[in-house]
Amino acid sequence: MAIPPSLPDRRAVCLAIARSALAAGVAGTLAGCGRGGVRRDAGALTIMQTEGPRAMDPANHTATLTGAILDPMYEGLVRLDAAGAAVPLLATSWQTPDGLTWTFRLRDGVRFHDGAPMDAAAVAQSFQRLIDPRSALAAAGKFKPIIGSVETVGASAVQFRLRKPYADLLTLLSASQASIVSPRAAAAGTLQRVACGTGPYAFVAWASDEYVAQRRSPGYWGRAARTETLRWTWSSEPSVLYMALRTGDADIATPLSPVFSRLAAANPALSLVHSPGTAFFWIALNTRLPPLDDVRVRQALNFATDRAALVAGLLGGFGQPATAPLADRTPFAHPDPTRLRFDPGQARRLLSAAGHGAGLGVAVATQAADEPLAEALQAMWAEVGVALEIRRLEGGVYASEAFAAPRVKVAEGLGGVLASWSSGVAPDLQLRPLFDSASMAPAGANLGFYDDPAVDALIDAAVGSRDPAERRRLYAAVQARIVAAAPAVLLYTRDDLVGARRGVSGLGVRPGGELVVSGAFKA
Amino acid sequence: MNGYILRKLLAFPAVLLAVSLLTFLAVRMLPGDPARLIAGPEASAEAVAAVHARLGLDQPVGAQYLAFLAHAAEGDLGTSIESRRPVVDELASHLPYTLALGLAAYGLAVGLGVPGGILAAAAPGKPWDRAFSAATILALSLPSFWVGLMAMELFAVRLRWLPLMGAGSASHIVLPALALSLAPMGLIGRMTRAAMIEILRQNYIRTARAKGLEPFAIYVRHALPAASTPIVTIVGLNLGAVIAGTVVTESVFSWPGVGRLLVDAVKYRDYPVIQAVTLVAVVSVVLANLAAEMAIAFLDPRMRRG
Repeated sequence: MAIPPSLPDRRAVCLAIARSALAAGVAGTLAGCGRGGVRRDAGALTIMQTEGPRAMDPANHTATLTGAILDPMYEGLVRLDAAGAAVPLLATSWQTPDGLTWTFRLRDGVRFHDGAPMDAAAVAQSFQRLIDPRSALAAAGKFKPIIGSVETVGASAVQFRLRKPYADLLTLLSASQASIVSPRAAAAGTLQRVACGTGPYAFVAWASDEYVAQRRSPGYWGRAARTETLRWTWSSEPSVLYMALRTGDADIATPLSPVFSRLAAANPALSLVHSPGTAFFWIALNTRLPPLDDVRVRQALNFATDRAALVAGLLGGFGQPATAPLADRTPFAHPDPTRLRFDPGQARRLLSAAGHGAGLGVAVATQAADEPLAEALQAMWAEVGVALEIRRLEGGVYASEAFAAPRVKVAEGLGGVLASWSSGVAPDLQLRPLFDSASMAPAGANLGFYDDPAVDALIDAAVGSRDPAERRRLYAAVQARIVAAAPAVLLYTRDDLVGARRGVSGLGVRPGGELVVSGAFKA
Repeated sequence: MNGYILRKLLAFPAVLLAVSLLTFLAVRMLPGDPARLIAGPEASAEAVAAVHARLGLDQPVGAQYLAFLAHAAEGDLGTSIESRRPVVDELASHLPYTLALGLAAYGLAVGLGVPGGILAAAAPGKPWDRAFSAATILALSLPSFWVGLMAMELFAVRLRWLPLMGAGSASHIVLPALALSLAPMGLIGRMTRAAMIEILRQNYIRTARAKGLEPFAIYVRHALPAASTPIVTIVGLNLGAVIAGTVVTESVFSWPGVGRLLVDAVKYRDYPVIQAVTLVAVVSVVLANLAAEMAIAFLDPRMRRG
């Protein structure tokens, strides 16, 4: 799943980043009081996140944290296993003769929580609704360019016709947004507020600004969930998540900030579930704005960036320095640590060669949450004579600035946008929106207007090929080309950090940071 | 004075109209596009345009405002862009929480600030007065989110006396009300002390003391009514600050009131909700000031004649 650079949920994560240092001090002095919390019914789990849900309709959100809340109630045709391979869920098998036409055979006897049968008609309607421009659903843009049509084949099979061969279709179909929704609920127009899917948990209530409640679905087709009820709450204060874990107000809390993750790991009453993430941070450089239109200047900024120090200092070690335009754990990632090394001498030589030996200035737009990162870069870049001007913007303003057209950004002298993206495990879901010329802002998240027809062609070829060896070669080529042209300063990926009370098990985290709690239980 | 109050009441609809126009325009002048925030970063230009059309944002602003007024006259404040529920329903489910929190905080601020100020004024420069001055300065200057987090750490996590967050029971209101009450309590306390010291220097108080009146009678019966004008004024004026404070306090304590609603509404540029919450806040402030003026008129005979 993609987290936008406009990233409402991330903004919420760090709404109070400036406060967290303060709060960390509090927790640091008072931590260690691992007293047992209020006793609860063992059949209930409370999960706390940093942001509430944006919708109960899986097709109408693009936020990772909303996806986590919807996950127990909805299912897609397939899901990804721990190794990232697609395994059956509502579809039992699938085949494609050419990569363009895909037929999925559906599981028999499955019903939605409202009693409607999950059959071919329901699946076809679910996707037709998703890609219909008249529905104006938030997630449509992710599917429309790929899926041409979805038709029924008898009562228990559907056929997808793609606009072009797309090797990562199964990964795309495993996303929260591709969940199958009840045709009755969709027709009634109630999905925004009331969830209705086929998952192991059924929707109970969504009290605005308070909680979402879910109860084990009695008629679930698969193995019944171990925990009777799930309750989701949220707070934008990073320290509150940690306090809630200690009091027992939350059994599970995510995403924990690095500071509180350390404390949670050290607290005997808590445990930390820590997995390498795909939340990728970068600065898109405005390739239309001098002097950043000079590739040497862009390369110099990459050489001036000490990624290991950023990971150690800002993430407390809970992250990986960028070695490619893809997160390490994304399939087909092609690490190039030589070119993405920290080498201030090389940065100075490149800047001199480009005629900027006396120094230059770059203005970068950032949100409050990422300001510490921008400040760290400011200090690093100053070492090579680059003055980084931080333009800190409120979230909504940031979103419109980040997606501004080339003309606007050049007029404003905006040299870069500090952003993040979480693609899950499909390389196409990261390379295409960020680096394909068709995704140039305002149409997509190519925020620096990088324009290389060879890269566009490689991206298309790589996702169109069904031969893993060829895909590997093509993805290596495209990543090498992007790193060489340096349309972005690649920074790091942040780990997914989940805190839980001792005794909670069965938790999962999808690549992309989406929590999976449908199998979780309290001992 | 009655004429003055009447004029104020008659001007109220005009104030309302002006405020609705200002908030309507201000909200739309905010940079940031709700359609982009709804449609997400992967949305094409057409998808964003479709959302615009669905929300009616493709209409001229003047037409949008007239439509808003026409609906508002029928008690319809529009539909939330984010939740797709009627804004009136959103207000109805959030406002009671904010009213309860605001009243509790106000009760604490007045209930502790006024007596504290009177006691401090009774013996200026003495230890109690010095402690009171220091406490009110702290109450005024400590950021409420920090006080809130500290109080949570101490009372909810360490001592387990009070619930951490949320709004399940009556005890849930204690910590947020305390955090929210600090700043107005400090201000009201200081204002009470200053006004009382001023009055206690007056000749009639000296006379009252000379004829041997009980201290309680001097302070409460003779001095307090005379000192009440600035105190009541500051209490009335402070409502705006308390409303502003709910935004932070409700976020820290996950209190499901209007302040938390507003934070999300601004985050997602939910125009109808921002408008409605702003209107409610402005109306409350105008009404509170009016109530303060009426109270002063009641307390101060000179104003009644005026």
